[in-house]
Amino acid sequence: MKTSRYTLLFLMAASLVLSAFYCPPFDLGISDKEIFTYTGWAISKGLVPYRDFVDHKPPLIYFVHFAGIASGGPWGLWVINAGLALLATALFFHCCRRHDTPFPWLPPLLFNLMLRDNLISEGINMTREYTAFLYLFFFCTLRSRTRYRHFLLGLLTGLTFFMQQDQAPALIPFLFYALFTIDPVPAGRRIAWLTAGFLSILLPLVTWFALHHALGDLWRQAFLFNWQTYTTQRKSFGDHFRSVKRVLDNGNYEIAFMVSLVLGFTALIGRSRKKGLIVAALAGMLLTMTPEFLGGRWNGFDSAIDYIYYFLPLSAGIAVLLFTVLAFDDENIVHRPMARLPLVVLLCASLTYTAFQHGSHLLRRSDDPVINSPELNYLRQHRPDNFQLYVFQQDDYIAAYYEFHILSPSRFIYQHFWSWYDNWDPDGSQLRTVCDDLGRHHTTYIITDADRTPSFRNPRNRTLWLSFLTSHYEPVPMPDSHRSLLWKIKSQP
Amino acid sequence: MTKKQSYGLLILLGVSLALSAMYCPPVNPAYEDTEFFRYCGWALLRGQVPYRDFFDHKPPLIYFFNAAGVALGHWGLWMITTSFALVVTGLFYRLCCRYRLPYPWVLPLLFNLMLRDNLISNGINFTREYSTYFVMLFFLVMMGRSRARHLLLGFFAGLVFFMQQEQLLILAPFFICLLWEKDGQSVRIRLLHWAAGFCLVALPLIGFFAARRSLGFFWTDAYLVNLNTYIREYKSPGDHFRAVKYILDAGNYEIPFMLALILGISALLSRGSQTPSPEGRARNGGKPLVLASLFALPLSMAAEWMGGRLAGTAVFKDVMGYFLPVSASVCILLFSVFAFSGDPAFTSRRIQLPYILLLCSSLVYTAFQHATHLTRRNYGQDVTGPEAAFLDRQSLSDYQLYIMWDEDFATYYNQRKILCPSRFFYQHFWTWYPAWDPDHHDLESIAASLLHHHTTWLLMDPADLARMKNAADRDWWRNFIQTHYHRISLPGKPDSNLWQINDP
Repeated sequence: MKTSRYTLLFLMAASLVLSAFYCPPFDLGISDKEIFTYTGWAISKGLVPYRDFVDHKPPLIYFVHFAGIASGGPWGLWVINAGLALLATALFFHCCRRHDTPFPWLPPLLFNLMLRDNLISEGINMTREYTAFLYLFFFCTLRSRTRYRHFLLGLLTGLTFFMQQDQAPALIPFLFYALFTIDPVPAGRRIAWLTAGFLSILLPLVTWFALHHALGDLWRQAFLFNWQTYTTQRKSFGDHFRSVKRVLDNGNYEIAFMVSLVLGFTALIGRSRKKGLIVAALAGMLLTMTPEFLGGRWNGFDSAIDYIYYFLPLSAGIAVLLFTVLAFDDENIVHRPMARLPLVVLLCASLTYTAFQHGSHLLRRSDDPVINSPELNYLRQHRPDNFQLYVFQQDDYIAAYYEFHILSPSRFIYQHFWSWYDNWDPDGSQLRTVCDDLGRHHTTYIITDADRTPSFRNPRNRTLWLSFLTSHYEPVPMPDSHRSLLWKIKSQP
Repeated sequence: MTKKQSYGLLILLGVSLALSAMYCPPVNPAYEDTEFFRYCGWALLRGQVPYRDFFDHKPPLIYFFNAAGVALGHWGLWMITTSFALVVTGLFYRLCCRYRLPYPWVLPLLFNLMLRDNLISNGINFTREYSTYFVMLFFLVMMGRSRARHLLLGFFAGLVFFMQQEQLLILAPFFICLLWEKDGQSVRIRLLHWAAGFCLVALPLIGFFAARRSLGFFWTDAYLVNLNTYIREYKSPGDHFRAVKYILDAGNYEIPFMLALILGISALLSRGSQTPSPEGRARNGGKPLVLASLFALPLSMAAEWMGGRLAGTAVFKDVMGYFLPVSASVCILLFSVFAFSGDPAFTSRRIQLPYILLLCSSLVYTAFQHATHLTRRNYGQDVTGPEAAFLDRQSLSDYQLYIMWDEDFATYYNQRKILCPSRFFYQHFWTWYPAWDPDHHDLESIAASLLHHHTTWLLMDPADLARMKNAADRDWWRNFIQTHYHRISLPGKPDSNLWQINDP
C-alpha cells in the first residue's frame, strides 16, 4: 500500500512537471488556442457563441475557457487543464491497481508522456486534449463499480460530443460493450441511464442557447457546417494511410502505437480474458483517429495538410488498450518479467527523450516573434478600444484581442474558410458584413498581410477585400521592418 | 534442412530477389557516388589506376567491384550486389535453422528489408552496402564450423577494411570475443590465421598499386586524407545523438534498432538457463556474444561518430546511407539474443510473435511504398538540357570535357564513355573544407591537365564558385577560367554553363 502511494505521488509529480512545460510563460500561441481564449473572455462580457462570433466547434470548449478566464486568466486555464491531467492520472492508476495490472504506473505515465508530447500537442487547452481526458474518465467509469456507472457514461458521452463531435465515435465500442456484457442492471434500464446522462449535458446547453436566441446559429455552425463543408473534402484512402504514418512517425507516437496495436492483436490470438473489452479498446484506439478520416485537410493550396494535434486523443486510446492487454492477457509476454521489461522501455524511451528535449529547450512566450512583433509593440503604445482592432487572416495575432481586453468588430474572428473552400461565401455577402462592421465601428486598425490575399479561393472575394482595405486603410510604417502588417484607417478629408 | 525449411529458404530468396529488383538498372535511382564509382570501374578497365589517375578517398575495393560489374555489362553491378544479398540471406537462414530459432526466416527477412530500405540506402552499389555483406559473412563464418574459420575471418576483415575502413570497427568486439573463446587452436595460431586471411586481401592490392608506382597515392588519398581532413570536423555529442535519432526515425530503422538494443540489454540482465544449444554449448554461454553484438551496434554507426558532416554550409548534413551497416548489426544482435539467451522470455515462440510483427511491419510498409512508386530511368538519356544536346553534337573524345561541381551532369562521362581530363573528378572537398588545398596546388594540377589535353569544353555554373570555402582558391580558379575559357551561348540558354577554351 505504501509503495502504491509513493508510485501515485511519483505519477502525479511527473504529470505536473509535464503540464508545467505548458504553463502560461511557456505556452506558445497557435491560432485555435488564441481564438478559444478570446471566446472565453467574450462570454464573460456577455457575448454568445455562434451568434456573436463564428466558429464550428461544439460549445463546451467556450465554457471551459470562460471558466478558466474567470478564475484567473491564462493561469486559471492552466490550472483546469493540469488539474484534469492529474485527476485522469490518479483515476487511471487506481483502475490499474484495482485490476492487479503488472506495472500499474505504466499506462498512466504513457498517457501523460503522449498527452504532453510537444511534437503532437502544439500546446494545451484544445478540444481534443479535453476529449482525451474524457475518454479516460469514460473508461475508468466503465471499469468502476459505482451504482451510477451508466448515468456517468452517458454524461461523459455528452461531454465528449459537445466538446468535439468527431471524438464521440471512439466511445461507441465501449458503449456497445457496456450494453452487451452481463450486468445485473437490465439492458433497458442501462439505455435509460445512458440517455439520462447524455440529456443532462444536452438540455442545459440547448436551454442556454434557446434563451439567448442562438439555437439556430449553434445548429448551423457547430453541426450543419461540419457535415456540409468541413468533412466533405476527399482524400484517398492511401493518402489517409500515409498521413497517419507520417504523423505517428513525426510525432514520436509510432513505437507506442505499434507496440499497443501488436500486443492488442496478439492478445486476441491467445487465451486472454475479456476479449470483448480488448476488441473494444482496439476499436476505440483506432476510432480516436476519426478526424483524419472525416476530412481531407486541404489547406487551399491543393496539398494535403496533416493536423498533427488531431491525433492527441490517441494518447488515451493507446493507454487504455495497453491497460486492457496488461490486465487481461493471461499468457502474453506481459506476464513474464523479463519479457515485459523490454516493452516497457520501448514504450517510454522515445517519449521520455522527447519530453526531455522539450523540457530542456523551452521557449518563453515573451520571446515569440508574434508577441514581440513591431505591430503589437506599436499597439501597446496606442492601445485600441473595443472594436478598434481587427485581425484578418493573421491567426497568431488574435492573441491581441485578449491582451488588450477588446472585442473584435466582426463576428468573423476565424477566417480560414475563405482560403480553404471555393464554395465558401460565393457571393461575398459574409465578407461584406465584415466590411460593414468595420465601417460601422469605424475600426482604427487592421492586422493583415496584403501579400497573403492570394490565399482567397474566390477571386471576387479577394478583389472585394483588397479594394475595401486599400480604399479605407493605409499601412502603418514600422521601425526596423520593411513590411508592415498593421493598417490604419485613413483620416477623413 | 527439412522440407519445410527448404520451402522457407526458397521464399526468402524470392523475397530478397524481389527487394533487390527494386534497384535494378531500369529503376535504380541516380546518385552521384554510385555514378562516380561506375566511372572509376570503367576507367580501371581502360588502364587507369585508382588514386593516381582519379582522386578519391575511399579504399580501393569498390573500384575493382565496379570494374567487374562494368565488365559484366549494364546489369553487372546489380547482379553482383543481388548475388551477395542472396548468399548472405541463404547462409543466415541456414544458421537460424541450425540454432533452432522459433521463426528462422525472420532475421534474414529483416536484414533484407533494412538493407533495401530506400529511405536509408539511396540505391545500391555503395561501399557501406558491400561492407555490410562482408560483416554478415564474417559473422556467419564466426558462427560456423569450418576448419578455415579463422583464416576466413581475417579474409573478411580485410575485405571490410579495403572496402570501407571505419566499418572494421564493427568487427573489433567479435575479434575480442573470439580471443576469449575456448577453441582447439591457441591464441597465437588464431592471430596468425587472421593475419594470413587479412594478407590474402591486402597483399594483392598492395602488389597492384606497387607495380603501378602508385602506392604513395593510395596511402595519401585513401588513408591520410581521411585521417587529416575527413574525420576532423567537430560535432557535439548532443548533435551526434540528435543526428542518430533523426536518421533512425526518418529511415524507419527506429523500431528494429530500439528493439534490438533493449532486448540485447535485457538478455544480458537475464538469468540464462543451462539448456544446451545445438552446438553443445550452454545457452547462457552466449552472453559474451550478446555483449560483443551490443558493442557492435553503435560501432556500426562509426561513420556518424567520426565526422561532423558539415556540408560546407555550416548546416549539419546527415548522410542517411552511412547507417546502412546498422542492418547487419541489428540482425546480429537479435540473433545473439534469440539463439543464446536461455530465458524463455526471449526464446518462446509465443513471446517472439509480437517482436516479429514490430520488427517487420513498418519496414514491409516502406518496401511496399517504394515498390509501388518506382521511377523508371532511361540510363544513357539522363543527362539532358541545352548543354548536353550541344555536347552530343560535338562527338567528344576522351579528355575533351571537364565537369566542375555539377554532380548530376557528371553522369555524362559514363553515358558517353569519355575519360575525365583531370584526376579530380570528385571536387567536394573544395566546397567542404577551408583548409583543403590552401596553396591551390591541386587546382593548378587541374588547370595543367586541362591545358595539357587542350580540353575544349568546361561545364561549370559560375554561381558554384561561391561554394569554394577558400577565397584564395576561388580567386585563383576564377582567374584561370577567365584567362583560358569563355562562356558560350546556346540556343534556349544564352547564359549556359558551358565554357569553351580560348583559341591559342
